[in-house]
Amino acid sequence: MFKKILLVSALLVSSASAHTAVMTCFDNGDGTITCEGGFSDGASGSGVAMYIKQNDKKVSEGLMNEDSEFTFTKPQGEYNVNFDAGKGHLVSIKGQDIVE
Amino acid sequence: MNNIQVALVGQPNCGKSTIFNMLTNIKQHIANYPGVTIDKKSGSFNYKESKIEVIDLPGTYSFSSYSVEEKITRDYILNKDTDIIINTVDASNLRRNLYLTMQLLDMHKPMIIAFNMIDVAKQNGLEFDLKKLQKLTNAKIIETVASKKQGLDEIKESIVEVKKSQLSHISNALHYKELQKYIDLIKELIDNKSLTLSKHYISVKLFENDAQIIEYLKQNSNNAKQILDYLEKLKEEFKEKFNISCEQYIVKTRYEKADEFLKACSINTKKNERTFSDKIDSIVLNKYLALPILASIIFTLYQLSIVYGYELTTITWPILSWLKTTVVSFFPQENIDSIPYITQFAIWMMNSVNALLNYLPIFFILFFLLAILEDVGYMPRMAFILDRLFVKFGLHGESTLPLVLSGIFAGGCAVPGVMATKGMNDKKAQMATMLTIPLMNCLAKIPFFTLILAAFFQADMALMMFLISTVTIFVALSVSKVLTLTVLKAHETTPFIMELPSYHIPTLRGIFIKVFDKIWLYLKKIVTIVAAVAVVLFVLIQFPGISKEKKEELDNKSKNMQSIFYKKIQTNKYYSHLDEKDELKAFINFYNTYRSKRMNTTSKEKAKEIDSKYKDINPYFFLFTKPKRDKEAKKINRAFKKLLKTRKALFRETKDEKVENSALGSMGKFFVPLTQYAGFDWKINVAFLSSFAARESSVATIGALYESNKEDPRSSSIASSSSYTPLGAVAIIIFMALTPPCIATMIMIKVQTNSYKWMFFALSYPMVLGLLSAIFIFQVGSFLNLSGVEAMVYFYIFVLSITMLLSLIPNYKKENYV
Repeated sequence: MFKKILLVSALLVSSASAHTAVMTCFDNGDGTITCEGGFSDGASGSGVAMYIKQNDKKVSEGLMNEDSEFTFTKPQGEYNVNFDAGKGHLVSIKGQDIVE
Repeated sequence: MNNIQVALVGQPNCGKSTIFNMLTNIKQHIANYPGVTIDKKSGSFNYKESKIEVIDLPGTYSFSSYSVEEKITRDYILNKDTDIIINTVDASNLRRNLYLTMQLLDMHKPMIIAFNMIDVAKQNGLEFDLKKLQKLTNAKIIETVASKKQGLDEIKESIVEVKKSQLSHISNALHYKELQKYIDLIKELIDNKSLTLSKHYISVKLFENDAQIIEYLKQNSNNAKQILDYLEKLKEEFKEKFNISCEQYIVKTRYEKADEFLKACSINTKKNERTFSDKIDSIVLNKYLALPILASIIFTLYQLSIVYGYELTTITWPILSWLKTTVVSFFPQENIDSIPYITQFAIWMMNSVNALLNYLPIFFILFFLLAILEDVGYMPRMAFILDRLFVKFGLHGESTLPLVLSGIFAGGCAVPGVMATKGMNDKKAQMATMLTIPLMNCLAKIPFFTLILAAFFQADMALMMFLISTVTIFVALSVSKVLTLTVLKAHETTPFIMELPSYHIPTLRGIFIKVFDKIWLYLKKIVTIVAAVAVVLFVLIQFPGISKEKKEELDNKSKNMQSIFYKKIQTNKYYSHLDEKDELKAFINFYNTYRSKRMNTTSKEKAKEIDSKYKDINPYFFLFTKPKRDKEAKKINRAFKKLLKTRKALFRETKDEKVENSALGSMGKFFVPLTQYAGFDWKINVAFLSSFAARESSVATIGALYESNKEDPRSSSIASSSSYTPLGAVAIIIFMALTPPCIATMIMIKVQTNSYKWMFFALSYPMVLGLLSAIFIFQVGSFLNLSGVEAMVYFYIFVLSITMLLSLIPNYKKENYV
């Protein structure tokens, strides 16, 4: 019975639980940075908007690829990387916190 | 050492729990009553050669409607092992509290009355002649101020004393005036030898038509039939003579008696002065200020718990992430072409548990604030203010908070929402609230709405967002009304008590005890239920697995991927370090764990530490991971990254294939004949299903399904790569807005209702409703050739009108005598 219930209930439901957006970045050491994004319940972040800002201006943007990764060329000077999955789901990481 | 069993009874907000904490001094044990989800709190202490065990029974206003709490409380008091009742009354609100006392008197048990909040009462200018009250009730009366530990020793002392002089302290039963004659007649018939309950109590309850007692009599008495026949006759007779039913007469008499007692023992010195609580209430309950004050309190609560709590999760998440990595590291390592089942299972379980542990910061803040509001005495007032509006929809003033937390005006969260229904006294409204909570705007749906809206409604985004987030409220009100008129018809409702407790300053200790109790309970329940649900889902997704042909195809792709890699590095000077399969496997695992360790570090020192550690583990692997200026190592790094990318793609393909083949996937296809009317193809169905089960956010699934193309800004990619129109998008959005948010909510509903049946219901009706709405929008919209925004607006107006109409239907009410 229990199994049956779950089977059917699994049918109904959409979207993940209230999850925290998560992003971590890694300096590849070759002038590029790779950021991985997703959600705290293991949900993938693929398709989520990414953009790099310098002095509050977007200098480049793109989307998380199907591996939920985003690789970009390290800009000169101060910058921050943003993972933007909508209101309440924005993660921003400062360039200086991404150590080689 | 002799054992004394004490039961703590009292109405909500009378300070009972504070007395309990004061007596047991945190040495408490919380369990569940068998078969229900009400917490059973007990604790014990030693005093003068006696081991005294205290049970903190659920707060109840009276014993008139039979909610589970009341049943438990009654059974405990009447249990022959219970030696003494401690009846906590709020001295500043004596009249209401005395009503329960009248009912307790009928039970004929030794009673101690903890005359609590005597300080507030004195401030309000009330003084009491407790000697008189003691005489009237024959209960031992102790003045207490639980929050300041006043009266603690006296209570302990009188427990021992009352136990010693057991018989002289049996409380005085009420005398029921005109009805007493009849009660006595029945009493004489009752054969007392085999009965554990007092004759008086049985007799009174028989006149009250108490099903439980009638049953008890049938089980334990030889002449039950004779008694019951005679009872019917007497009741008829009484009704004829006095023109009032026995039940009503008993209730009336209790109120009169309560008033008599009150008059006899209270000396009001400042009769015409307004009390401190009255002064506050004149502002808080003021006709014009009540709603703004309520709104700002609720907004603050929401802001602090959901919004800031949510921000806190970004700080606490790394801890959970570490926990997961640590646990998973004990399982077998990944292979080149697959991840071992057992490891997959571990990852799955950790993800499931973590998804729920992630709520802890939100809960902590929420419970803390709720405990303050409860202890201050604002909760009943909040219910009082909104009751009139909610009652129209079968809800209750107490539904306010759960609904707000679940997202009434912005993204909320259904899990704390369901948790917050715990304290509701009105069972029917509690169920109705719990069942409509999944319709509220869950925060997790926002990324999804953002994605779809950006794709189809760039210009009207704000308007659409507003419509989406408010339409669900009206749907919820309507649904609640319908549910209370149908499936919830038989559930208990409690009368709305108009009298409000005095305000008082909460104690920090009491609040912390409350918070930790709740958190601990949550953890215990969550872990066990999550484990069960997650295991079942895992099985549903993993099996039957992928077909033989597909498996071969994927194996070939994997072999191909490896040979490409080896071809690239054949001439490399480091080739010998990777030429074995096991070495490649080891390197994959090395690379992944190193990356995940480094991902979460922001300090240079920490990064250096990790680097040197991994250099020690394997200097060559480290070199391939970070080749710096080493040309040969760079080549390996590049080839390896390509391999990883392909490997990930293969894993994804395997997973998608698995999902599509799984029980869930088959269902997605199975429903196409139905969902096509809403414009959903099988891909969307599978996305909806797998997004729930495989914990892939719908953003990702939808994105993956329609292969968003990287050069495009994402908005147009969905719009262009799919055959969806804005109208179809509205159908999808409405379906999403009405379907339950997540497994976590499902589990919480199971925890609160203790029934898989209700959990299933809470999940299935929104599904049906969502699908019907989507079909309705899509069909009507197509027929009338409406644009997406038009369809949304018309649907909104439609829902609004239904809500208005439903509010006019009177509620079904069971007869209540209070």
